[in-house]
Amino acid sequence: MKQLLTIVTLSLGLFGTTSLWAHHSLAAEYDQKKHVSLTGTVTKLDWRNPHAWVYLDVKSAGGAVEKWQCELGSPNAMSRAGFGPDSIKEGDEIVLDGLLAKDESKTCSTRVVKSKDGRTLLSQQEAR
Amino acid sequence: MSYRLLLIAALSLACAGLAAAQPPSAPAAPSGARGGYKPPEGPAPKTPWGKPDLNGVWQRPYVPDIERGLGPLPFTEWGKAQWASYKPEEGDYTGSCLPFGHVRSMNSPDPIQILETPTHLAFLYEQNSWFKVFPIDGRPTSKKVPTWFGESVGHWDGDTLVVETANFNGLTRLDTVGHPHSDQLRVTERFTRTDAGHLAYQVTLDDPKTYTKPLTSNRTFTLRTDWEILEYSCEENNKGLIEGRIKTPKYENSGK
Repeated sequence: MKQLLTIVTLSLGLFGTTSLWAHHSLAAEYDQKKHVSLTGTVTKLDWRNPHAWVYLDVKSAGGAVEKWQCELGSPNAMSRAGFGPDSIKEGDEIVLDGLLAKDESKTCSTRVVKSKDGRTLLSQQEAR
Repeated sequence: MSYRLLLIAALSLACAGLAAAQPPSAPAAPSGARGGYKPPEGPAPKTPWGKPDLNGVWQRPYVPDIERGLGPLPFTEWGKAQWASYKPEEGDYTGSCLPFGHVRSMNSPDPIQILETPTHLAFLYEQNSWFKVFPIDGRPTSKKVPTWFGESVGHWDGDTLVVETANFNGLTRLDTVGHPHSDQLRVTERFTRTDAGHLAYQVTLDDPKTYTKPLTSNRTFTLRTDWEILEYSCEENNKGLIEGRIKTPKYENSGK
């Protein structure tokens, strides 16, 4: 079940305040009450303003592949935090938690991408 | 003089001033250095022309919701109605890459660069690569058309630069969550270089149409000698707008 997509509503924690920097109101595009946790394989990282996007394949328990796209922080903020367009690459296994788009497409907003063993691969928060 | 020429002139002067004013003990760290940054120490520097030196790239606290620092906002009935009716999903203008306006730009998480000349100050907002240039030598205002960023003039009050801004078009919001203001908003900002690494910033928002009393916030900006302002093209890959998840706002309920 490790790669099973799970949607958890009304969960708290990762989505506090400053962790979700955005140039516009996230409420305009994402449902703040619908959180999604994804484990998948990177197919592309699009490192462009105003926000980078990661594209990933997520396998369901039955083996079907769902294609997801998730909006990240701004490349500027992530580069200042020490990350870059080579921080993740096609084929990498990643884990992320995000907010689901209101149109219920396979689109989410996240600010942190981790490896399966918990290392932070992309973030706009400076490591302290 | 056009804004572009003015900006080039300001940049040249400010870079010269910055180089002269920065303490030699503050070497620039590599861009993108992770953690551990320490701002320069020492007394507040002066420009070659003897004024407090405000030049530099400044890291500022992100203020997505002004109410968090100010407590419950003193809305007028008009302001309360504006706030109650705001629905970002029906068009947060910044999602469409329309100008943030000065207050929301100063509340944004992205850094600004300040360029100072004897006669003008420039804010280079990284947020969407906007800028603002205005006189600080006490000359009267001359522009009459309301704008997104308002019309600013500055003057020195001792070692503090006081910037007063008005003539807003009333179409912007104060912060990320969307607190309202009207075209009657007047903003007073006080910039005081307290030491080599810091800038004290006080902002007062006076908008009697929206709030029953002025709102004042005090913050500290940190000089980032290891940062440069980067390009920020909001339009380039704004997939939310391109793919129809973000709506362009309608302005029938504007601040006018």
